[in-house]
Amino acid sequence: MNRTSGFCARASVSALLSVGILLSASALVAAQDLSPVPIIKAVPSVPQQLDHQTKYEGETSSFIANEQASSLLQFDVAELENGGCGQMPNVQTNLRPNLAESWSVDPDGKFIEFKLRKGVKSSFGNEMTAEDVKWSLDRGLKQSSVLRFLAFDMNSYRKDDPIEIVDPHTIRVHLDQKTIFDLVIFHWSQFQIFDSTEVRKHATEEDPLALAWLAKNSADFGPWVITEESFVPGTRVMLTPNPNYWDAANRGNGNSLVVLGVPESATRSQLLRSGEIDFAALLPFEEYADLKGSDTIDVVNCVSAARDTLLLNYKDERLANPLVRQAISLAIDRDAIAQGVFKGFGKPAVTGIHADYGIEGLKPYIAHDVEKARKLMAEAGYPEGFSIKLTISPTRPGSHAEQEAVFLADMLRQIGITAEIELVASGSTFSERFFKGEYDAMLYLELPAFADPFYSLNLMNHGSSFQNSFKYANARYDELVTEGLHLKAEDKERRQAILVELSEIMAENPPQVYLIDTGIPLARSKKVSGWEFQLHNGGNITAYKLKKTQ
Amino acid sequence: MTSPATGRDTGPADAAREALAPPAPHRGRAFRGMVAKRLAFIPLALFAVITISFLLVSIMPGDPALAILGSTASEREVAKVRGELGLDRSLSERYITYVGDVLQGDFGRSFFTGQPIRDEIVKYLPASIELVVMALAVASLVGITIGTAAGYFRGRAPDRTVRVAIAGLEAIPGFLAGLLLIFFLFFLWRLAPPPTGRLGIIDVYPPPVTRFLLVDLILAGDWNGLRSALHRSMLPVLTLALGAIPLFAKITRTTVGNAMGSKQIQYARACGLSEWRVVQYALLQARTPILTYTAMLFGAMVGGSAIIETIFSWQGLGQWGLKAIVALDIPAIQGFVIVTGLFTMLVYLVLDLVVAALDPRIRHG
Repeated sequence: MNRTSGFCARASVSALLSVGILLSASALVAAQDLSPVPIIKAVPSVPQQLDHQTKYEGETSSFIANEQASSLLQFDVAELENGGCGQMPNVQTNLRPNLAESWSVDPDGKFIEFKLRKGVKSSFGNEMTAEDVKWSLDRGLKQSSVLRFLAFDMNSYRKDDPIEIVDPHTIRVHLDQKTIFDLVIFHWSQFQIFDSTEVRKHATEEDPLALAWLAKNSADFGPWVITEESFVPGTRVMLTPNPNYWDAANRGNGNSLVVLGVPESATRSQLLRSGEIDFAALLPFEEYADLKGSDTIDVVNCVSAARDTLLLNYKDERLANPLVRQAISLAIDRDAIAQGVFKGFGKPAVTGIHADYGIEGLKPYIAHDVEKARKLMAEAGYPEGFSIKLTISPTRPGSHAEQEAVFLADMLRQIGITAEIELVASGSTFSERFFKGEYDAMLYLELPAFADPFYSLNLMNHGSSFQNSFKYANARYDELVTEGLHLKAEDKERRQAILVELSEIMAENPPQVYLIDTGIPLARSKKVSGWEFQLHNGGNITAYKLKKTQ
Repeated sequence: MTSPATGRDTGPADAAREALAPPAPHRGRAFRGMVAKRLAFIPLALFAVITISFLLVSIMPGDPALAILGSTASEREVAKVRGELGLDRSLSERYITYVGDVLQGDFGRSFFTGQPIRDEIVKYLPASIELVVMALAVASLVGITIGTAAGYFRGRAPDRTVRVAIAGLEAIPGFLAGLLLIFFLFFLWRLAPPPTGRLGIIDVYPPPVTRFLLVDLILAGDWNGLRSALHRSMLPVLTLALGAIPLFAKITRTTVGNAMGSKQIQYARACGLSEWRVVQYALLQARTPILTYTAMLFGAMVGGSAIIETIFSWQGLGQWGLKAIVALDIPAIQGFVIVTGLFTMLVYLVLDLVVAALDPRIRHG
């Protein structure tokens, strides 16, 4: 064989190999079949009705409401680490247009102007106009106490008719004063934009806002459609694609999204393991830990702004004593709770501000030192300790409440405090007890609607906040939080300085005994890709973008 | 022994009964009197159920207005909703209005879905009835069979085996049995479908004609759907049946066991009847207690299988009622209590009539 023929032979082999590789690659692509399939997620419970503005059932509603994605704005989680799972979005700088095409803020801070996206249609074929937006936002403010709170208390929207139509594709939202949450409210699922033309067809004289129809049907500009036939209240709902959806280019291959109510967490886990479903929500931490070893399931622990916390009521003079509060905090071994209860899906709290915010310059003040705790108890005049009632509920912070309470009671016993655990099964009763301040100590979950430290610091601990049912009072604290709420996005240095000072105030007299900075574990099928994590909407997935291989 | 009139076998007890029975017109009068008495009792009992449901719910802790509005509502908003719900009126005033509405068939509207409670009950009750009927059919078949075997072989190996099985079944709570069945039959061995409702995850439900899914599937000619629904009924029916099997087995074992030593059975054997026929006669004596327990279980299970319905996403009345209780949906809770109470009363009425028709001793007091 001469040189030329050798070259030809090598070339032929190379060509054959290339063809082989190409064929193999084609076969691989064919194997990753992306033909239309249902995306299925199992949640503990499906809401009883679908009008999220009128009756928002908390987390239960969020499993559906967030998928409807008919809001003016969204978080641009694609810009964030691991689709938003690995990095907390900023409430001022990480927003992106959704049904709005763009927005601008009046230099005097008197209004926000939204330019609406053109050509956006509902499944009924009606194009979105400023009339739809005003009708929907007005409806939301009328129907939802949460939206009224967010708009008029947490923010400072003009009380009288804040939404103005400028032209068919422009609206203005009028403000009395700017705050850091002015814009972020427009990504909130309850502020969804309805196809008012269609909804009004189902309104009656007695029911002008079509509450009855919207309780069972959807009419919006999001990616999905829900009809009465596909909705079994409390049990399941099947969302089918909106054929006119404006962002069809980013659509995955889900030809429907089925949200199943599966109350038993063990069953949700088994369904996921068996491949029957693609996503299982709200499993106990042990289940997540077990699922980590699975070949077919991906378990991630996403960033979160939520914290498990121990509320101590200032109405009880023993618990109002700063030395006792410090002692209780020191008696708690948070590492043991993080490992024993949270199975590593939570971190011990070290300051008054959740670690996932990544605020620099905070001095960790939360520690575990039983000896020091005992001394503080003696110094406070309680060397023998005392008895308290520790009120808990599996509805908040979750199914791990009882286990966590047992850990806490055991730790408090070491400094002479006998904590009698009082279990409240009903979520509404527990909530009522919290708001009325009817407890000595309460195991609670701080779960901010918007992940910004000032939201929690204001809502939970500010002297005038209705959620400060434990009656923490500190004038300087209130002053700083109020200032922080009105900072501009560019005032980064001042923001950090305020947070550092707030943390120091909380170290001296802890408003709450922060326990664990929780993460949000998610368990999902490896057959599905394109997950986005919308933290501010309760840590849900965005199913319409998912791609699922057969 | 053969009856000359019917040509069929009759037992010695039946022969004696026939001889002692009063003449036919008197029998009819007595039966009608008993029916009238039972029917007259219903309104009184219903009134008691309405009152109890109203009072029980009224003293439940928690403020429904706060549960509806959520934590962010102002005091003024809470007060407004309390007014709309009528919670600002006195207990007696609310009671009178409530009784008046219920007597007109108006149970109010759900605080959360806004739907009329009557419609919700009509929607969910048939699923529970289907579940209970299937479960009782399985439980009675299995329970009576093994109970008869145990009674017939009393004190011997089959009896001991049945008693051990009964004790085992009694020791397992229904919800745990359900979870274990799901784990083994669905998750490990894949013999059963997933516990995700009455039809497949993406199956379409038939148009609701009778609201009984199995019947509606037949009416719609959806045989695949029917097969799927029956397949998916397997685990919940088995779970509910497991709790009822011991009861059927025990009552049958005791009655059949006693009957086997009775004089009637000795006489039947002396007459040369086959053992199979002898067992049939013994079993006949068990029919009244079995019917009584069936009716009691039926009444109790329709509202009481909430946990099992929830585990299997059955969408029945129990699951609906449980959700209402957790959410503090007062009209729904009251409707649930009244309907399950009324249902139990009606079942007992039918039971009384059937038992009276079967047993003249009861008919004549």
